[in-house]
Amino acid sequence: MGRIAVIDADRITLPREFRRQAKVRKGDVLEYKVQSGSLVLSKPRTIEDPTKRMFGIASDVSLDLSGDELFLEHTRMKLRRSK
Amino acid sequence: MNFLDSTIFINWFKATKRDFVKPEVAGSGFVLHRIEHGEAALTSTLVKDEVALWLSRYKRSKLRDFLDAIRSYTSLTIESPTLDDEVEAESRLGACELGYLDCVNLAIMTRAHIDTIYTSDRGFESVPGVHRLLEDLTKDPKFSAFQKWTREKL
Repeated sequence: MGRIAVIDADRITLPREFRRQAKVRKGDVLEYKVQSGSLVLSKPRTIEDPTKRMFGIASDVSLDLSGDELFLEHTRMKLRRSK
Repeated sequence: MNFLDSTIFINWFKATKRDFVKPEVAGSGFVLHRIEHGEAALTSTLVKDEVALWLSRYKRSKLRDFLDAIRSYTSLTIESPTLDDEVEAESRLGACELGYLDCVNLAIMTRAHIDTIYTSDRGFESVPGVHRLLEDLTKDPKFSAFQKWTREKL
């Protein structure tokens, strides 16, 4: 287990070995949570080329509802299930 | 910094290569490309949820891809609405051609001191002080580089 010093109240430095093992690079955004008294740092699941990946994923969809209608439809279905 | 609306994602999801002649489609891709390459932008959990709901309704198999993709835009901040934003939104309802969710997004923009929204929704043009930006982006000097990217990568 390695150790990380708290430099200021709000700054820490990640050791090189940690960065290498976790493949953390400059500019990465990490997620953190406090779990059972432990501080857990993790890399969020990200993908390369998100714009390329999202292109045309629903190109065969012709009908669509607007935002408010979608939420209303969601509520209508909940109420229908409540009967 | 500008605000990112749900229509940008959905225009891009629904696009085919033939649609690049449509400024709202090409502009939507250009916006996402700019944000992917570091342009700081703001959106809301409402926008994210609207797009996720849209996909869950029409293209369930791509929902996870979207959630992974939106997380990958590291310069995109996703802001949650506050109750004050919703009170502000209620006061705007009826004063413009927008529904409640968009009025909440407007309140988030106001709180963040943002007056420009990337959207193809012309309803935002009815809001005084708000600038809708999309089709004009095709006149941006960097748009031709984006077009080259679409030819080579898509």
